[in-house]
Amino acid sequence: MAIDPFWNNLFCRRERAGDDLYEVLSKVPIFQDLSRREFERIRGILHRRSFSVDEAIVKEGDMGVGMYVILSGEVAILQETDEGGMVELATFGEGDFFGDQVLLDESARTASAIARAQTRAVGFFRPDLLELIERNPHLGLKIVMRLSHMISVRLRHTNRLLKETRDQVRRAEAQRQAESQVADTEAEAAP
Amino acid sequence: MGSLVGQRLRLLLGIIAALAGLWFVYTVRGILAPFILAFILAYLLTPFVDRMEARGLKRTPSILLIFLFVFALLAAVVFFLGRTMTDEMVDLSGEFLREESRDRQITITNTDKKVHSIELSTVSRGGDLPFHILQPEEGQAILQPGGQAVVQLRFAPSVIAKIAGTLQVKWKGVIYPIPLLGNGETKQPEPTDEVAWGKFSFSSRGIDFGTAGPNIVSQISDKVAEYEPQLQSLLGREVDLSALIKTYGSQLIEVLLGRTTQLLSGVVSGLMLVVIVPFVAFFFLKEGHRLTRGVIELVPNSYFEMTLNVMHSINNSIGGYIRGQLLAVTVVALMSVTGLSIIGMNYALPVGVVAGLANMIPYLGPLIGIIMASAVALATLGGTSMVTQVVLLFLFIQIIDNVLVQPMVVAKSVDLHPLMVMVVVMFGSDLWGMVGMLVAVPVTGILKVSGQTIYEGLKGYRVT
Repeated sequence: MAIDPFWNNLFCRRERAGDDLYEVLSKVPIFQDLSRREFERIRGILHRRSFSVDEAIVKEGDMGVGMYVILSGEVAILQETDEGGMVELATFGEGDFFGDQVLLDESARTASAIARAQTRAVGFFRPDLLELIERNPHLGLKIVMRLSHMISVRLRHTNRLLKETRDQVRRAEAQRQAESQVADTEAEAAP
Repeated sequence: MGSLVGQRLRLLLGIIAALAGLWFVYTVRGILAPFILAFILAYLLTPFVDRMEARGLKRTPSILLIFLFVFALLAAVVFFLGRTMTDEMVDLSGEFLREESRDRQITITNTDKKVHSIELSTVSRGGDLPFHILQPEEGQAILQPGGQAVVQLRFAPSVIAKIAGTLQVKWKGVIYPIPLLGNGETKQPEPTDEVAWGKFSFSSRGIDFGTAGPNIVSQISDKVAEYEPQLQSLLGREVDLSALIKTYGSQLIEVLLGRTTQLLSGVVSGLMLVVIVPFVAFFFLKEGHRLTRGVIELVPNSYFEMTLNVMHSINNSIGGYIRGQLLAVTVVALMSVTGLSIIGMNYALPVGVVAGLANMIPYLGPLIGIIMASAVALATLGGTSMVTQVVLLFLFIQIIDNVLVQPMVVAKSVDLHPLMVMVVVMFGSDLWGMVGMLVAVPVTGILKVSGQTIYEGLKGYRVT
């Protein structure tokens, strides 16, 4: 679904079943290895929100506070271009999530998320995560480890993309140089 | 255009809601005190409850355990210090509220058919003759058959002391004593009973001066009166400073203590405090998260994340502020009580504790502490050397407080403008007397911290 590979959801298992919060959230990697009991504790700090069509869930540039997991509906991830236009990076549906990076550091949103259909989502926010760490360090640590794992996987993925791009650029450069050398020798050879 | 009208309407509604809220708070101010106390208590205990919960205990048992500990601690304090503290408090407020009228009278009736003359004199057990006969002036009276003589007495001890004496009525070389009881006497006579002796009857058996005696204000004003000649030559004009102190001082004490007693005796009785405060605090500790969640759920999507973040910051700031203030109060109170005991001051415990509490009020607090302690020193021991020691002690404590304690405990400095402090302290004293004065500044501090946090939070969101 994703057009930009960065927004490709690497972590989501594709099988989806039921509307139950546990069913959906247990497939989100952050909550993956939580027991049912631990999950019940997490449930208390999650926020259920609903969004109407074309309503912004997060806006690019705003301070990010946490992540959202889509329970139902469709969400488009949009980024502003330098020219002022909008480019669609991905479209997310049930079970997909976004915004997990700001759970670890307070930073501005790098893209907007707009509801394309009537959407229900659960939010998991940094203040609540911090409080969870204070009140239940064991559970908090589990989630933070998962988060770090995801970010490290994503970083590796990005590094690989970067390397590929660099190689492509290098190859293109080399080709251009070879072509220009050929052109030069042809020019010198010309009477 | 439409959105502008909508915005203005929303602003108007917001202002109306805020005013309605203020009006509501003003209306229910009588029952607000236990809730404010519970709120503060909950903030104080939250970190401990969280820590116990982190150790694996459930929240409810954690809260109950901590409550048990706090109650045990309070009980220990009450057991070891409570008696002294309340006794001294009662004595001290007695000093402030002492009845000013020090005159009493007794009527002597001649029941005989002949003219008799009597001589009157007073004897004081204390030695410095605090009882004076105002009338008859010569100390003699001639009584016609069936005639009456009114004897007026003034009780004027220089200090409050348990002095008793007698009024001696001398007739034909025989002396009849009428007991005079000073303000500290425990044995009460029956002053209303008539008593007959020889050819006379007295309107009462004895005279009880009870709470009569100079209160602190009039004692200070007397002290000032002694220095008035020097002062007047210094100022170069006539100033009746002692009269001014007397009028305004007693008015001030009436306002401060009167309202406080009203508050304490009326709405917030001891039982209510003991029952309601822990109950509400328990609720705040147990359901506080659910309560804030409930509020956040109501916020529209576009302000949701911002509200969540700002509320979290406010929560942290208020917690830090309250815990910091409590620590500062404890340190200053401990230093004051210890210091005052070392220099041998009377009422060291209540004076030190009140000085510690007053320290919450910036600018005015330390001044209140010094003035109160000096007044008590002057009134109870009458020495200016004690006042000097008290002032030096409080200056020393202030230096320690400002250099060491404040920077360490009060994480986020809440600098309130002096004018603001004056206004809220006056407002507080008008609402709840002395308790109001003490509560006004922390409450304003909490509001200011919240305001600052909201402002800083909003800056990150392009809303401003």
